[in-house]
Formats: sequence, C-alpha cells, structure tokens
Amino acid sequence: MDRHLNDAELNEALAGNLPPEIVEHLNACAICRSSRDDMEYLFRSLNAEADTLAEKSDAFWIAQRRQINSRAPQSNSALAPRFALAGLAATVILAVTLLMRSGSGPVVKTNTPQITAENDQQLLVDVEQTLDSNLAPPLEPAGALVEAMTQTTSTHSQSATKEKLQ
Amino acid sequence: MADALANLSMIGKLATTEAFSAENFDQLVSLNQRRIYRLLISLLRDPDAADTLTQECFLKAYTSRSSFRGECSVETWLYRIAVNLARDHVRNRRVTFWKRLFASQQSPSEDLEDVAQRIPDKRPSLERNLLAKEEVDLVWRTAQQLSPMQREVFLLRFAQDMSLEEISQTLEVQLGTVKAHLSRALSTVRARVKEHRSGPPLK
Repeated sequence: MDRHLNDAELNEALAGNLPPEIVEHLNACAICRSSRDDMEYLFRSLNAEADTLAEKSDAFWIAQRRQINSRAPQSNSALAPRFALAGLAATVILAVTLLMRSGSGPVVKTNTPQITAENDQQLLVDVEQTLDSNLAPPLEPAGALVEAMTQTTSTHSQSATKEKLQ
Repeated sequence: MADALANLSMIGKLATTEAFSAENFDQLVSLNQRRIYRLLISLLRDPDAADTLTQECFLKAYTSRSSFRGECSVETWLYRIAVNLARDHVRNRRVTFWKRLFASQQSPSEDLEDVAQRIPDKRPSLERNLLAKEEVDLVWRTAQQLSPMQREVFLLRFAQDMSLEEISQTLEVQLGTVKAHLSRALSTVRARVKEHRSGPPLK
C-alpha cells in the first residue's frame, strides 16, 4: 500500500477488523499508526471513565444486594417445596381422620326380615309386620300407605276366593 | 475464601434453575452486580439510573428465568437484559424530556433545569487533563446522538471492552451487523473529534 489509510480503513482498524494489508501498513507507517492509536486512546478513555464511575464502596454493593433480595420473590422458591410437603401431609392427615371417623360412626343396622310366607297373603302380612317394627318415624306415612294397600289386596283376594268357590 | 471464590465462579456456569435457586441467587447477584452496574453506567452515565436498573435487571432475570434456554452464558443473558433495560430507559427519558419541553412553554426555567440534568457528569478527574476530559465528554455526547444500535455497539466495544463476538451475542445480532454499526458509529464520532480539534469554524 503506497498511501495512508483513509477514514474507512482507519475505522476498520479501530473496530478491530484488520485485513492483512492494513496490518502491514500500520506496522510500516508511523503516521497512520499514530492516528489509530490516538483515536483508540481517546475511545479507551471511556473505559477508564466507566471504571471510575462504577467504583463504589462495599457498603453500596451490600445495600444493592440487600435491596435486590428484599424485592426478589426468592423466599417463595425456597419455601415452595416445604409448603408443598406440608400441604400433602395435611391432606393425608385429613383423609385418614375422615376415614377413621366414618368407621367409628353410628352404624345403621338393617334387619333383614325372615320371610317364610307360603302364599301371597302371608307374605303381605309378614311385610306389614316388618315395616311396623322397623319403620323410622319419618317414613310412617309410607307405613300407612302399605297398610292401606295390604287391606285392599286382602279384600280383593278374599272376594276372588269366594267367586272361585261359587 | 478460596472455596467461596470457586463457588462464585461455578455459579456462572450453572444451569439457570440452579443459578436462580434461593441458595445461589444471592451469589449470582454478588458475582455479577458490578459488571451489570458498570455496563449500565457505561451506557447511561447516570449513577442513580444504573443502580435502579441493576436491581431491575436481576429481578427481571429472576422472574423470567424459565425463558432462559441456555444458548448463552448466564452472564451474557444478564447483559442482554441490562441492555434492553437501558434502551427502554433512554427511550422513556427522551419521551419525558420532550413532553416536559412542550409542557414547559409557560415555565422556561424548568426547561433549563431539565437540560442541565441531561448534561453528562463532569466531575473533576486528577488522572486526566482538561483537554482529554473535554474530548471524552465530546465522545460521550456524540455517542448519545447516535442511533440506539450504533451507540450500544460503540459503547460496548470501547467502554465495556467487549469483543465483536460478545457484542453480537449480547445484542442478538449478526457479527456483520455489529461491524457495520460500529463502522458507522466510528465514522460519526471521529468526524466530530476531528472537527473539535480543528477548532470552531472561522467567520
């Protein structure tokens, strides 16, 4: 290269893009090297200034860290597994308690009627007797209904027997 | 002490689920908070905003940790979040600025205060002479006038000393795109510096 670097080539050199011919020229030409170094020194002053501006006391960094930690919801993540386990344990305890309570609670006994009727009429009488003995108070109207039905049925069966006999 | 350092360096390589566990999160913050703050102050040059956005960065990373798929390191992922936060901050600041500017037709003093707040921090530095300081401020001001992508690429390259590949990963753009934006940014900034060095135009 028999000329000095132009602006574009100097920019390339400053940017760190150094094609071989530019490197060769910079090594040989003190003027171009000086132009590059001068500008680079100036730009690197930004780096030094950033160092100066970013120089803070330990107290600053500690306070900043404390501020970040106080604002970060990190406590949730730390305690999340513990809360999950506590929730699971509570659910298990609740389920076991409910099961135990249902097991020890009042058992409804159902008396299975021993029906040995040989005909329909006897069967209805047996049913009526069973209902009379086991019927819970709220079901008493149903008992009355059954009684009425029994009477009707027995009346019908008696009249049918008479007709057959006649 | 050696164990603690080994543990810290290991956290950077952990999967996100582990890195963001309650036990490791504090160490993850401890390991990266300076870098994130430095990145943000490089981009914004506003210590309060950098502090607030550093906190936001970690909170955002924590709440959206499930979206991290491990295609890059946790550190790069944090950088991405920080750059996006800075981008939103600049956008909102500009909107707020113009809103206030239009609203302050009746009270020009408020307008001036607002403009004064936007002037970069000019704290004296013993390390640099006045001229160098002026030039650094000029570079910074020029960078603020670049397009968002050019500004980010330029500041990540020179203020953060990132490689082009790292910038490409952080901004999630192709390497060629990074080079193109950097070249344009350099062209603009160099032109302004040359103009400044040649002095004000004679009338």
